[in-house]
Amino acid sequence: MSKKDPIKERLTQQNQELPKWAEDFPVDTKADGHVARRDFIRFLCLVSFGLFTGQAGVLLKSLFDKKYPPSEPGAFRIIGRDDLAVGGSYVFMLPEKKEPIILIRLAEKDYVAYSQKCTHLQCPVIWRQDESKILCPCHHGAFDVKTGNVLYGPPERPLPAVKLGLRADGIYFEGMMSRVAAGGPHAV
Amino acid sequence: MRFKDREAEQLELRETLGLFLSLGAIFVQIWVLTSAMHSLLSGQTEHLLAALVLSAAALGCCSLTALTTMPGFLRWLSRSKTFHSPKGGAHDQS
Repeated sequence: MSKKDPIKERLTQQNQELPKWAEDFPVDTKADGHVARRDFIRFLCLVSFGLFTGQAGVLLKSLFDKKYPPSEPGAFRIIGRDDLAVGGSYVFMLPEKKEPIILIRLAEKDYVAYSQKCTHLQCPVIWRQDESKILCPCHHGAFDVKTGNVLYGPPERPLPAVKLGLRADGIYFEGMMSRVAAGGPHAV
Repeated sequence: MRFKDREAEQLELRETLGLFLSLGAIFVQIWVLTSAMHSLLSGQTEHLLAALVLSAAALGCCSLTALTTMPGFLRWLSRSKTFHSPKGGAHDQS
């Protein structure tokens, strides 16, 4: 934009020098609107770059998780056989994956365990003995306690099941199950 | 159509349009990013690359708007479109 500065023009006509304040504030009121708009557009460009970086970060995280999945911990003792009452639940963390697991005792010798992270948005699920369901309190999703399959609600995938081992001295974690058998992940 | 100051009004119009375009592009980017985060948390990572491409397109839109509203860039663009012949006078390259 090749607009003439009205202050400069008037001072030139009067053969006067440009005052100090006009040097410090070279933008007149009319042009100030343009400057603010342009600055705002540049700021939007910066915001857009930030959002793009975040988007790239999401993609990189997804690729990294696929390429380097967290290592599976070896077998370890979770709890004593009689430390958990029938109908009770116990939450523990996998040492290396730092993933919470919910262990449920369904009958005298029937135990199941699943990842406590809901497959919808990772909220921790809870065991409801009165309804015989595993519930997600965040978005009211429910999972079948015997198979881990979705009963209703927003989750689309079943809860990842845990392979349990029943030994004389207690219940052991033996790994995550890639696919749950038809009867469910029971350790009897 | 008559203008009081053709150049200034055209610039103002261009800047206002660019502003709305940039705001729209950022709205799309926020929408795409939240959807991508939702997908990542629910384990559905099939369309993350497409989301990144869409976000890049929105960034390109914002950058182009910012560039075209820079007076220096416009001057450079108009200079590169024309050249001065040895006999004098500017000629359009096209």
